[in-house]
Amino acid sequence: MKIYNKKGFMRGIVTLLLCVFGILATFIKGFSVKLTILLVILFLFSITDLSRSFSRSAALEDIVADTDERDKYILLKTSHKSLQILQAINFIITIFLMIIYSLTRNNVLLGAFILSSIYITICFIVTLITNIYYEKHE
Amino acid sequence: MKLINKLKKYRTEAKITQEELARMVKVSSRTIISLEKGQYNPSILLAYRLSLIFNTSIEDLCCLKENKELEDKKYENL
Repeated sequence: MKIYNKKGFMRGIVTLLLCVFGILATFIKGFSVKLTILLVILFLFSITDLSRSFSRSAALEDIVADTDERDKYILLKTSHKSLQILQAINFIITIFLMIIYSLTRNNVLLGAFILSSIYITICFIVTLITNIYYEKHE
Repeated sequence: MKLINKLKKYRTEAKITQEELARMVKVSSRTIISLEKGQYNPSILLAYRLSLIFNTSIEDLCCLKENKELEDKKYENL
């Protein structure tokens, strides 16, 4: 048997391993309805992934679905826009915390202000490093 | 910028469904729908695959001349 979709095959193996761990957990901790339902669902996912990875036509469908250029473009735009929105929200919260702290002198607010400032700094550094990487490699 | 194209015209003339065309060029049918609406601009490789199916050039399929003129006008009006 040939594996046509390695990614799907690996996904199937991982979910199958999770199933095995779940069964072991059932033996150790005792029977649980929730866990059994979860294991059945996981097992079905695993079998579907594994069987599809061995079928050429199914693997082709999965690969096309996974590598669709519009989906990748949308994912790229979504990630970028989400990051922008989150950074803007965090910036507003930081300014807000700074103003409230200056008025109340509450140390809890100072802690929150320092944390959100650290987050802004980390975001800036990560963005800078990523940008330098892509400027060199694209 | 949204680009105009002749994809829908060529596809309906060839009597191919969006799903069939999607399978032929190895993309999702959502991509074909989006292309026909002019909401998404194809990669050069996808444009080439489409032009091969309809036996035309990328220039004609993607109306490159018209799109260039539209873009030029946009810059002139700035």
